[in-house]
Amino acid sequence: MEVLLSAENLVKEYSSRHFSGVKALVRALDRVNLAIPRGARIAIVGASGSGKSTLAVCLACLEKPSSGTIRFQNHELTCLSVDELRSIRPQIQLVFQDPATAFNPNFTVLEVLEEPWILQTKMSAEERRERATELLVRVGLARNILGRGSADLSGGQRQRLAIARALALKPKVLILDEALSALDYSVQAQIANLLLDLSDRAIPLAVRPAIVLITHDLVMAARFADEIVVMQSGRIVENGPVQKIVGNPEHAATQALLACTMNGAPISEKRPAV
Amino acid sequence: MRYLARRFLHAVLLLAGATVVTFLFTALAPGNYFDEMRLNPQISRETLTALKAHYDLDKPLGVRYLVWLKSLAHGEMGYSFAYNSPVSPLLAVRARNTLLLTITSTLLAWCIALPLGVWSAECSGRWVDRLVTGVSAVLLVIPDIALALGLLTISVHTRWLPAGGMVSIGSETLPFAARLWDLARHMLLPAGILVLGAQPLLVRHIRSAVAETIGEGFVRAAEAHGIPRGRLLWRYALPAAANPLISLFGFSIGALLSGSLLVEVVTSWPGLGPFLLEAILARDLYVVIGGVLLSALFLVAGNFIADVLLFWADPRIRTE
Repeated sequence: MEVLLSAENLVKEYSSRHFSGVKALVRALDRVNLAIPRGARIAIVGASGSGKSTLAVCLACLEKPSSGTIRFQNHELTCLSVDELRSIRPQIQLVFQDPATAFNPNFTVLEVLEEPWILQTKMSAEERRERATELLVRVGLARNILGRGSADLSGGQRQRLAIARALALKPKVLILDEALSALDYSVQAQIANLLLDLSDRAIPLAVRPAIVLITHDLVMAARFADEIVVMQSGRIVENGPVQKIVGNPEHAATQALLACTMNGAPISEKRPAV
Repeated sequence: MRYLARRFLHAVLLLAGATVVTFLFTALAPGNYFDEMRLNPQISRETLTALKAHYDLDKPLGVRYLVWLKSLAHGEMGYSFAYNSPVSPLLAVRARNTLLLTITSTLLAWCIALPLGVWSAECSGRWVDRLVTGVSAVLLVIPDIALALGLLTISVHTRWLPAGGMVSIGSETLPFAARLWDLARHMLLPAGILVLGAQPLLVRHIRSAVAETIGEGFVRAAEAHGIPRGRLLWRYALPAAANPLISLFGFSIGALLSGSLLVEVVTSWPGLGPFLLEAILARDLYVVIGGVLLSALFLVAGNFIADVLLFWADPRIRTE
C-alpha cells in the first residue's frame, strides 16, 4: 500500500538548564522510523514518557525535529518553508488529549468548524453552515448545537467536535493523541466506534483517512488498529500486526503493557459495547 | 444581566463605603486649616471661633459628614477654606488637565505595550524576547521620581521640550493647530515619563498571558489547520489571554486620576497633583476629601468597566 506519511531516523531533543547552569539534553525521540500507509489504522502505545506525544506533534509539524526527516507524499516536511508547510498542514490533523482546552473559548461551534474554510476556501456562509451541520451529524452530534458556545459542551461532545474540526478540511492523516484518555468508558467506546466508522473498509481508499491512535491502553489499541507500534524511552521497540503484538509479544515493554490489561477484557472484540 | 447588576450594586456600595472612610480618616487627622491662624496676633479668638462655626467645624463628626453629603448631593463636594469657593469647580479644572495627560499616556502605553508583549511572547527565548525583558527589568528598577528627574534634566539641557507647565505664555492668541502643537510639546515630557513607567508592568503581563495561551490546545489545533501565525496571535491567543489584561486595563482606568500625581508635581503640570499637595499642606479638608473621593470614584468605575468588559469578552462568565 502507498505510504502517505513517514518518519526516518527522527530525533527530537529538548534542552533544559540546571540551576548550576549545566545544560541537560532530554532525547524524547531516538531514531524513530515509521510508515503510515493510506487509509491505515495504526495504534502507537507506550507508557507515559515513552515519546508518543512528541512523535504526534512532530508528525503534525507542530514541533521541528532535531534531526531526521518526515515525508508526506512527495514532500519532505522538515525542509519546507512556513508558507509551504501551511498549505500541507490541513492534510495532517491532530486531536489533543484535553477537550477542555481544545477550542477557543470565544468561538461558537459553527465558528470552530468554519474558521479554516473562511481562510482556505471560497465557500459562502450558507455552504459553510451546511457543511458544518453535515460534520456534526457525521460525528454523532446534534444539529442544533451550531450556535452554542464551545465552552458549553460536555467532555464527550467536545471530543467529538474536535474530531469534526479535524475532519473539516478532509485530512489524509488523522492523529489522535490520547484523545480518549480523558473520557469516561461509555464515551470512549462511542468515540472508538466513531473512529472505526470513519476508517471503515467500505469507504473508498482515496477519501478514507489514515488514523493514528496514540494511547497507553493496549486493549483500546488492539480493538481499533490493524497495526500496533510500541514505544519506550523515545524508541520504537516493537511493531507489527495486532495478532502478533498481542499474541506473541517479544519486547519486555509490550509484555508489561499486556500484563496491565489482564482484567478479563476480550481484546479481540472489535466493537466495544456502549 | 444579573451578574452586571450585582457588580453595579457592589460598585455603588463600595463608593458609599469610600465616602465614609475618606471623610473619617481625613477629618480625624490632627490639625485643621485654622490652627495656623491662631499664631497670627491680628486674628482674634472670636474670629477663629466664628470661622470654624461658619464652616461647621465646631459640630460633631456625624453632623459634619451629613452636611458634606448634602453638599455632595448639590454637586459642591464641600467648601475650600483656602480658595473660599465650592470644591467641585476647583477640582473639575484640575481633574480635566490630569485626565488629558493620563488618558493620552494610558492609551499610548497600551498601544506600545500590546504589540511589544505579544511579539515578545511569540519570540519567547529568542533575542527579541531577551531584549524586551531586559529593558523592562531596567525600567522596573528605576523609581518613577528618578525617571522623571532624569528626563526633565535631559529636556532642560537640550531645550528640546518645554521643562514644565501645560501651555506657553501667550499661546491663547495662537491659531488652533499651533495651540494644539504647543500643548502636545508640553505634554510629551510628563506623558513620556508615565508611558515609560507603565511599560514594564504592562509588557510583562501581556507577554506572560499570551505566552501561556500560545501553548494551549486550541491554538495548536488552529496552527495545524494552517491558520496564519498573525491571525493565531491576534484572533486566538490574545482574546483568550484577555481576562487578566482586562483587569489590568480596569486598574489603569482606576489610576487615571491618582497615577500621575508625582509626575505632575515634578513637571509642574497644572493637574490634581500639585493642587492636592497644596491642599494637604494647608489642611484644606474638603479639597483633600474631594480629591480622594474622585480617585476612589475612578477606581470603582475602572473595576466596574473591567467587569463589563470581562462579561462581554468571556463567554464562560456569561454561562455562569
